[in-house]
Amino acid sequence: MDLIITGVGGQGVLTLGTIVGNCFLEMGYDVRVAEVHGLSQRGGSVLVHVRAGEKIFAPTISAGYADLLIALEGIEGARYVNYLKKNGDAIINNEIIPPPLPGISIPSLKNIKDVIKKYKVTYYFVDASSIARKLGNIRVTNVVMLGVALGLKLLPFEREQVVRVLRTYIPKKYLDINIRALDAGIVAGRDIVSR
Amino acid sequence: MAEILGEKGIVKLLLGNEAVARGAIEAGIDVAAGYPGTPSTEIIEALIPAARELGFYVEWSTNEKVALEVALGAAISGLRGLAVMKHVGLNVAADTFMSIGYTGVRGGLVIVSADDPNCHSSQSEQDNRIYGMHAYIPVIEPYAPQEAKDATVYAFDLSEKYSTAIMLRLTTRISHTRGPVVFGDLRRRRTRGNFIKDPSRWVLLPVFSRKLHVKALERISSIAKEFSNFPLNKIVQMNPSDEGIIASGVAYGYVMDALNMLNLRDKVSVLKLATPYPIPNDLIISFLKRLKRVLIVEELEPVVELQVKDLVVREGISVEIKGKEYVPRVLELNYVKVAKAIAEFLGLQFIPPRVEEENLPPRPPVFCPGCPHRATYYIIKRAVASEKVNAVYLGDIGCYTLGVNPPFRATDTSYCMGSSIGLSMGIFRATDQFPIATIGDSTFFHAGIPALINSIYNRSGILVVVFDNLITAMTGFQPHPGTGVSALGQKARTIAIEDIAKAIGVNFVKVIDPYNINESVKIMREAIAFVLKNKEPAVVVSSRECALRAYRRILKSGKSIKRYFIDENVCTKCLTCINTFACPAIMIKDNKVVINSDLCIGCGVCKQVCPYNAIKEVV
Ligand SMILES: Cc1ncc(C[n+]2csc(CCOP(=O)(O)OP(=O)(O)O)c2C)c(N)n1
Repeated sequence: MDLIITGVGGQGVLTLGTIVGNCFLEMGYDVRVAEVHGLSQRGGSVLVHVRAGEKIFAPTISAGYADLLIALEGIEGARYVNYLKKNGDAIINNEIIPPPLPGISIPSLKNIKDVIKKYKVTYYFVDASSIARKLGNIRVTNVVMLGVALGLKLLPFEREQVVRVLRTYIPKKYLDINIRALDAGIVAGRDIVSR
Repeated sequence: MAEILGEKGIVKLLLGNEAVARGAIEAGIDVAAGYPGTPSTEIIEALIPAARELGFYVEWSTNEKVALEVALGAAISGLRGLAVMKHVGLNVAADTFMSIGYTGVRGGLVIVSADDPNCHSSQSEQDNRIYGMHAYIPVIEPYAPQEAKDATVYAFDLSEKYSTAIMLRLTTRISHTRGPVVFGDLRRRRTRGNFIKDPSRWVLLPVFSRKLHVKALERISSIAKEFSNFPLNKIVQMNPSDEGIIASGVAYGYVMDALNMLNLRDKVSVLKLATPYPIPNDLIISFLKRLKRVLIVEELEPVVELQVKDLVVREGISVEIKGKEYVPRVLELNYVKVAKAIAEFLGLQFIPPRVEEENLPPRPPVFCPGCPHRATYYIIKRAVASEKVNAVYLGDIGCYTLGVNPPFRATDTSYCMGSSIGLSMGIFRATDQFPIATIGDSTFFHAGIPALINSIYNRSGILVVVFDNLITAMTGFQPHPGTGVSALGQKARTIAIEDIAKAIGVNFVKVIDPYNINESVKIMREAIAFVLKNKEPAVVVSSRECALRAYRRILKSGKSIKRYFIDENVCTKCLTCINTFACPAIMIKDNKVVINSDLCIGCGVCKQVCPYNAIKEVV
C-alpha cells in the first residue's frame, strides 16, 4: 500500500507518518516512511511517503501511483492530489491555513474541492481540526485524521493496534487526548460510511 | 531510553540516520563528532543519549573540519572515530580529508557525507562520491536503512583492515527514510587509545608525502579487489537476455521497483552496487562478460559509469555501456524516471500517468511567529531607510536566509556558510554601495571569525549584523559555542560574539534586543554612520532566543504567554503590519486585520510596528 501524508510544517505530519509506519511494521510488513526535514518544517509544505508491502525497494512513491492521500490541510491536499492513482482515495481536512505571503489570493474550500473533483478519485472532506479543537488541542488533528482513515476502512489497522503504537510514540501527558482523538476520528469516519 | 539502544534481534522502524548511529555503536564507536546539517543531523542526535548510557564520546564541533580532525585524532590513536557532516560540510573539511587519503589511519575512521540530491535543504546537489575518488578514500553507499546500519559496521572493519578512512555516503532518501532495522550485537569499545609516533606516516612533509601517495594508490587497488566480495555488492539476478543494469546506492531500489512495474524482473540482469568507488573490478567484469548491453543507473554524477567505461576499455570487453544518456544527471530519481530510462534503453514503450500541476499558492518556509530574525530585518530596513544608504545585503546560511523574501528582500547573496563577511569586503573594495553582512550565530563561529579578522587587518568599511538566537536553529536547535551547553548536555563556557569582535579590535560593537524596535533602530543607525565616517567595520549583535525555543520553554513551565489583539476601532487598515513585518499570525479575515491566537506567541513586536497603536495587549 502506498500512502501520501501531507500538511503544513508544525501540524504533526511526520509524527503521523511514524505512527502509520509502525502500525504496518507491527502487522509484519516491510515499510518505508520517507520524510523531509530541515527548512521545509518552518511553516512550509510537508510531504511524507509511506510504503508498506511484502518487500519494499524504493523509498518514495511517484506521482500518479499512491493508493491513499491524507491531507491535514486543504491547499496541500489539492497540491498533492496528483500523487493519487486513478480511483485512489483522498481524506482531506476541512481547514485552510493561508500561506503567509503578502498579496497572494487564498483559495477557498470550494476552490479546493473543485480541484479535487477534477481527479478520478474518491474523496472525503472531514472537520478534523474542529474535532481536535473541541477535544481541547488543535495539535491532535493528525490523529483525528488517522481515526477517520480507520473509520472509513482505508487503513487496515485495528484500533487497539494504533493505541499500542501511540503508547510508544506519544508522551504520557498527551496520550489520553490522542486516544480520544483517534476514537473521535473513527466515529467521524464511520459516520461518513453510514451516510 | 535512547531509540537506538536495545537487544540483539529487536526490529525498530529507524531513520537511515538512526540506523547509521546504531551501526556505529554496534561497531564499538569511541569518538563521534559532527557539525549539524540537513540531512545528516540525526546521526549525532541519535548518538547523544546512547553515549550517555554507553560512555563513548560525542560532540557538536564548531565546524566540519574540526569535527573530522577530532574523529581523526581518535582514529590515529587506534580507536574508532566517526565524523558526520552534510555534503557541503566536506568542502569545509576537504583540506583534512585530502590529507587523510595519504596518511590513512590506524584505528577506524568513518566519514559520513549526507548528500542532498534535489537540494531539499541545500545550496547544491554536489556528489561527494567524487571526493572519495579525489582523495583515494573508498566510498560505500547503502540503499535502505537496514543496509545503512550494516554498511556502517562493515565500514569500520574495512577501515581498520586496510588502515584507510571510509566514506559512508548517504543521500536524503536514505538519511530521512524510516525502515525496519534488525539490531545486532554491540561490540565492546576499546578503553583508551595510544598515539604511536611515526613521522613517516603522520607528518606530510614532501619527503613522506611522495611515498604515501604511492601507498594510497596501492591501498585503493587492494580494496577494489576486496570489494568484489563485499556483502552489499551482488548480482541479484542473472537472466538469459543480453541486457543488464548496474545500480548503485539508492538507485537499486528504484531499479527494482521500475523492473517490477515494467514486468521485466525475469528479463534483465541486475548487479547491485554499494561501493561506487573503487568499483569491484572482478565482480563487474564477470557481470559484463555475460552481457552485450549494460545500463548504469545512479543518481547525479556518472561516477560508476566513468569507472566502468574505463574498465571496459582497459580489459577490452565487448559490451555497450549506457548511463547518463537515459538517466537524469540532475535532481533525485524515482521509479518512474528510472522506468522511463530503462524502457528507452531497451527500446520499449512506457507511458507514465499524466501528472498535472495545480495552480495553487506556494507555501515556502517563512519566519515563525515571534522570530527575532524578522524583527532584526525590520530594524535594519528602517535604519537603512533613515540613513539613506544604498545597501547591499551579503547574506549567509541559516533561518535568516529567509530574509530574501518579501517584504524584507534583504538578502542579496547567499553562497555558503561564512561567506557573508568576506563578500562584503569585496563589495566594499569594488563599489560605492554600503555592504551589510548578515550572519547567524552558529555560522559566525563556524566560518565567520577569520573573515572578521580580515576586516580589521585590511581595514574594510562593512556593517556586520549577527543574528544571534543562541542556537543553531535551522537544523533543529543544536547547541554551539555561544549556547552554554555541550552536545551531551553538560554546562559549557559561553563564548560571547561581542567579546570576540572586541578582542579582534572592532571599534564599534553593540548588542541589541530585536524585540525593542526603537532603541535597536537607533543603534543600527549609529553603526551605519560609524562605518560611513570611519571606513572600518562595525558589529551589531542582535541577540534574542529563538522564538520556537522560548515558546516551548514557556509552555513547559506552565506559564501563559501574552495575548495581543487588533482594536478594530483604531485600525485604519493601512496594512503596515502585514506589508512591512509579515508575521504569519497577523492576517486579514472578513475584511478585518486580526491576530490569529493559534499562531501568535506574544512577542509584542507588532505592537511597536503599528503606526496607529491599534495593536493592544489583552488584559
Ligand atoms: C558547511 C555547511 N555546514 C552545515 C550547513 C547546514 N546549515 C545550514 S544553516 C546552518 C546553521 C545556521 O545556524 P545559525 O547561523 O545559528 O542560524 P539560525 O538558523 O539559527 O538562524 C547549518 C548548520 C551548511 N549549509 N553548510
